[in-house]
Amino acid sequence: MIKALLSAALALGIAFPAGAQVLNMMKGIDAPHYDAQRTTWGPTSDIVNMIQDTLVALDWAARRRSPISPSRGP
Amino acid sequence: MSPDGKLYTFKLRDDVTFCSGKKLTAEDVIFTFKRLKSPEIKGPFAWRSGNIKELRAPDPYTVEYELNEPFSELLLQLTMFTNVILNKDNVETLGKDYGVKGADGTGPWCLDSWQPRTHITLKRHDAYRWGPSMYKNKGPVKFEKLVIKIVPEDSSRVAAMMAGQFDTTHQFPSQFIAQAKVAPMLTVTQANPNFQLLYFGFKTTRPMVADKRVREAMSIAIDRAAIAKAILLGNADPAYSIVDPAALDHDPKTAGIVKEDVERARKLLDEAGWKPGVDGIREKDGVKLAPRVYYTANANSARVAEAIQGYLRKIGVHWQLQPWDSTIAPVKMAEQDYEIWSVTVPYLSAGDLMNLYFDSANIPTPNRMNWKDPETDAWLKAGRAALAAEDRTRNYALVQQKVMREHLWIPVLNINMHEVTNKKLKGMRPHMIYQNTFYKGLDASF
Repeated sequence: MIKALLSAALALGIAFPAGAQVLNMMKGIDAPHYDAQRTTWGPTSDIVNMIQDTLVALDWAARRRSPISPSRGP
Repeated sequence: MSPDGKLYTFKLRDDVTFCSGKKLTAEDVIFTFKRLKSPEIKGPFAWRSGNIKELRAPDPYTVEYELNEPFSELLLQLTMFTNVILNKDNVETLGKDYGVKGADGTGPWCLDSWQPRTHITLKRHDAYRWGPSMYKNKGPVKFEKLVIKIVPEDSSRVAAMMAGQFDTTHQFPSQFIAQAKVAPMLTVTQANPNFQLLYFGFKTTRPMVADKRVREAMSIAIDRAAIAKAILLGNADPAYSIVDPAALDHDPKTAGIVKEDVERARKLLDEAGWKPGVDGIREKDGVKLAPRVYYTANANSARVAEAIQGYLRKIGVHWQLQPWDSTIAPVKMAEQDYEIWSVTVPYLSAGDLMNLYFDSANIPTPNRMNWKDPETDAWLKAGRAALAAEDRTRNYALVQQKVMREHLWIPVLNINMHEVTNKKLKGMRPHMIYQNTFYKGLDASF
């Protein structure tokens, strides 16, 4: 069982030049689009949070922080 | 914020650029929220930006954000992904293809390429220097590229992480977290706090579950701690309240409303007129107490629903389980041909959860309970309009007490959110917002 799973995993590899600073991530489901305004869909939201910013950010303790509006910083 | 709570003035940084190189200005911010509110977009989360009266730009780096009525959670809600700032020019150029053929942003990563259902490639935003203050690294990120591979099968994601094929995933199946924790090549970190509730809701307009005694009986006849331990293998906490005690505006007076007690559950059903039939299932007026239960057929919901079905059998209730594949679940949920449904919901605060689900304006979705109660609506309105934190807290507390005493939901588990990473990857700390544990990933490095 484990062998079969590992074989399947090897087939998922992505080739990039050795030494390239590439971070490889997995997620379970894709989104139909990456227009944040037209959805409540979680699989859109994670990518959107990587490529775009909000006026106010939330920190790990669920307190507000500020990326692009310093007037709202702590 | 102005004294009447209606005017917010945002001073923007003057050094923020989109991936395209264009400078972010107030014009982009105003365009963003006007688009969000436009009838063409029909933004399902547009309410999160408040009831906007007017947006003004007295200069290129100042936005005056005026509301028709105060919105006590505006700044909290503006942290949600639906309120990200768009590049006006990019959206206008791409038109209906925006979000499909491109999406320019000011985030630490830039959209490079996308092969739907296969992979997404992001590249470093070299100019990025405006990371949120909780990150040590304000930018840019320490990787040239971020490749996100779509791997739908749970077992394949587990195997790939175990084999060192990937550096990180925020979607590692809960039932394998224990193995990941002892795997020599992996690190497991958990978001804390962690607001993500798995619940079952009652459609109160269906006669079978219209009586709150019936709803309470089902809620108190289960053993949440056992479910958390046996099914989620400890990767969830039993939930005895709708709002997590650590969340903003949680009402501590809701403690004790859900008190597991099988004997009391049986008594409540007896009082409600549901008597055991020859097969052990309760009946009333020739109808079996066998509610139809809809949920998405993912691992957690399915197994939790099956466990609850087992508990409820002991009090003479038969849950007719109807799992739906995630591709058609939203359509089936929308038909509302059920007595009970389940979802797992991430949220920001008590106000966030209460306003979204219990306001009668949100019937039929997401207020799938079809809960229409003038008191609830009035407290929600007062909570939203509160200018002082204590007023907001008090009103949202009243809502929590009422909806919990009505047993509109069975809160079952707070599901933990994890980030599973290869040990060579450092600086990862999972975020709790909307299951987006990676968030910006600014501190991640090898």
